[in-house]
Amino acid sequence: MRRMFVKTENYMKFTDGIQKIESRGAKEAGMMLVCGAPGYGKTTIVERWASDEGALHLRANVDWTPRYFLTELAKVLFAEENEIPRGTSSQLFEIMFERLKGGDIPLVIDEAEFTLHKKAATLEKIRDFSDRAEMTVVLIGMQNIVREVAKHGQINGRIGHVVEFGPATASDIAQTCDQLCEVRLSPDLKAEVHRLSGGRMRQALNIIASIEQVAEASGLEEVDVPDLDGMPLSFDWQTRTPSTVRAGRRGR
Amino acid sequence: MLTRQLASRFCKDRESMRRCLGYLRKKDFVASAEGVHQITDKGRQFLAEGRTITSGPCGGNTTSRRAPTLRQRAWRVMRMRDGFSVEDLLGTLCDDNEGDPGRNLRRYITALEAAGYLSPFRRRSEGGGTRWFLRREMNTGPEAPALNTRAKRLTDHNTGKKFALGDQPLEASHVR
Ligand SMILES: Nc1ncnc2c1ncn2[C@@H]1O[C@H](COP(=O)(O)OP(=O)(O)OP(=O)(O)O)[C@@H](O)[C@H]1O
Ligand SMILES: [Mg+2]
Repeated sequence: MRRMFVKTENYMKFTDGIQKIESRGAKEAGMMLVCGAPGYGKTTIVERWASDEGALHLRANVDWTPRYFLTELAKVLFAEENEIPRGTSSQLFEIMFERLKGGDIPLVIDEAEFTLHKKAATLEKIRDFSDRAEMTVVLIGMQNIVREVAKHGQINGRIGHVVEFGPATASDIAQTCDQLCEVRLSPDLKAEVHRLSGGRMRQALNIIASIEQVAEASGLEEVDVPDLDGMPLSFDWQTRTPSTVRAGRRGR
Repeated sequence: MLTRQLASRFCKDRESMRRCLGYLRKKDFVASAEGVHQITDKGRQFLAEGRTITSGPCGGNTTSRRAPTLRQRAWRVMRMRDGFSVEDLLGTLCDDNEGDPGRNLRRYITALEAAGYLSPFRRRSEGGGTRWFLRREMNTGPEAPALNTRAKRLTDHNTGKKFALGDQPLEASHVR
């Protein structure tokens, strides 16, 4: 299997959202929320953008506090200096605020549910940066993060845009097959990859790898649904059953 | 100040610093003579008003708007992640296989490992490739260490350190 980035509809939605946020006026909300089920490609797509832009990028974890967040941010922000600034939380905030003022450098927080502990104290700090330094902040979380953030009115008012990732579409998966798979797949089989993957990119990639193995073993250059009939190509962890390719679904 | 001093102060290569100074000179913010540069009164006033340049070759401040290279973007991903494989980098950064980006990245990783930036994980990725992580103390800053493949030299503009990479081939595959 080749490895490449696929510009899916979620990617387009994300870049549209970023454009909205970045073209906002000075007093408008500068935080963006990215949410969606596991495996829809949130981390990959936002990392792609962050690496293009040189954004600061942190992954929150279960024991994050405002202080922990400030220390982690200082480590990446002052990495090239011999000494990372120390001090009280408010001193750290002021030093970093000076550096970030103007909003040239965006900030990404992955696994942002972990900023919601203790009345969202950590997220309040993040909001402070976004507001006062006028910087773009992208928060990534699962579907219910929207509801969780909404409980904190102050913060919620500063969310300028929400991008909800959906499952990959049939055309996303067809494009993924074209870009990544080293054997040709029939249109029906691409549709079958879409069905079996449940629109999860992670699953789709695993299925494509399995199809390649089958193709190699049987010397096929193009693979169609009947070639794989009844073969388990993905595994449903919820029902603990393998999902198999189904032939005879033509003309859908 | 000299171009070189400014370049190192802003963590830029000298060529982009020169371009940036040329732009500032056109705007009369900087005066230069024989490679020595000085801010003008107009430049000082511009700064005092807290204004920033929003377009032009230098972008908002001195960050060049030139598209970052694959290695620069790969360095950024290395700083973001707890671990990565070549496949992860390709899947995040590359839209096609033009110019064999996998080979480019493997060379860069080999050099970074030889210079002590990266360590391999004992366990491989799902696809079977080696995974690495950027060592905490080697996360030296936003500028990607620059690899000169021919001279086998790695230069870190964050710290000013240079590494001679010796004789091992930079394409050494990572089969352990
Ligand atoms: N646009 C894409 N192009 C190529 N591969 C992708 C893309 N999006 C996702 N993937 C692949 O799918 C895998 C899962 O995606 P990712 O980890 O980004 O999902 P996620 O939404 O962040 O999931 P989680 O909620 O579990 O963190 C990635 O490891 C990557 O290999
Ligand atoms: Mg994720």
